[in-house]
Amino acid sequence: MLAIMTDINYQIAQVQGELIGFLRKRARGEPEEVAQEVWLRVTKAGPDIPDLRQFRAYVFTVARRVLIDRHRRRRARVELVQMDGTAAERKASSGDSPEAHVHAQTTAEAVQVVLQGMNPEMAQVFRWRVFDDVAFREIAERQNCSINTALGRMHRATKLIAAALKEQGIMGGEG
Amino acid sequence: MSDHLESCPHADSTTIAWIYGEGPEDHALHVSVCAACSAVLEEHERVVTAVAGTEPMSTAQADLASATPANNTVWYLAAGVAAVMLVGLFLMWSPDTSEPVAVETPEPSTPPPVLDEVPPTMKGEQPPGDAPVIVAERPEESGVEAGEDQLDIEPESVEEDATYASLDDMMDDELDDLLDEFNDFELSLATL
Repeated sequence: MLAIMTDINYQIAQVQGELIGFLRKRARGEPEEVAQEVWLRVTKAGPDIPDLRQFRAYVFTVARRVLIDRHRRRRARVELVQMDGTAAERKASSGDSPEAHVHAQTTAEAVQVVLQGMNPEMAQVFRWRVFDDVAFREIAERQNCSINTALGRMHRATKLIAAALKEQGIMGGEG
Repeated sequence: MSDHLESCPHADSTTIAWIYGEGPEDHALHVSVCAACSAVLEEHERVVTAVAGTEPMSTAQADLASATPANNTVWYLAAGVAAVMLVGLFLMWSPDTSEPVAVETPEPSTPPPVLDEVPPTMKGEQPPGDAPVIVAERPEESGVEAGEDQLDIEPESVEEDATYASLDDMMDDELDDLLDEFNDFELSLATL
């Protein structure tokens, strides 16, 4: 156990700098905080991956998942403030600059256009999962379909939105 | 990027569930070594990140934003009724020259100028041999206050009785047409 922990600590030290650089682009103002959450999850899972290259891939996989979780939690917080607070409180909670606000507005409009143009059931799955945080099992029950169908709809909806955002230059490419 | 997604059976099922915290945590190990699942994770991460900065639009808000054509038809119907009522009001207030008004107007206090004769105001000022210069006095110039003798007439109240029947008919027809269009549209929506 001690040997494994030592190995993990060594591997973490090897990947730490690259991870912070990766998170700096994606988690504005809080890359270290996100990195800590990533390391917490990695050490908790304790994967036996001796190869550093594979370990790195694993760490970045966990990091992307942590980012998605954080965005979802943040969205839930904003939703709560929006329901109870004023416009000023909403602005304060988002903490974004006017440019970021305009960018967010453009993104929201683009996403809305794509959602309106796609299959309504697909769009509904995306809205429920991303905006309303409804679990896939619940979505499957609501749409009277299997959970795999709901997951497939989510997958296709995300692909369409990703393609549209990429085409409009709102979302970056690889990296 | 997503052309090879179908190469892994987990790419559009277990991996999606895992991405949103509904799959087994140890699936991360598979995702980290599977190119297809890694690509799916990357795609979802980018979309969720892009959408995260936006104002949240819940399903209820989206329903409001994308108002259905049926809802629009209700608004069109209301606007049509309002337009018909405005036209009706306009017709009631504008003078109708095609039909004689069945109102007895009192004799004006000053008789209209007779063009064959020299106007009273010109008498004594013009020699009878000259060519007559006809200057018709305008009512407002005659010294009589405009409408002084006509204020007790309420033409609109009298005209209301004359035009209401036809206005009701017209509104009924318009409403029937609009309701027919609305029903046709709903039927076409239902068939869709």
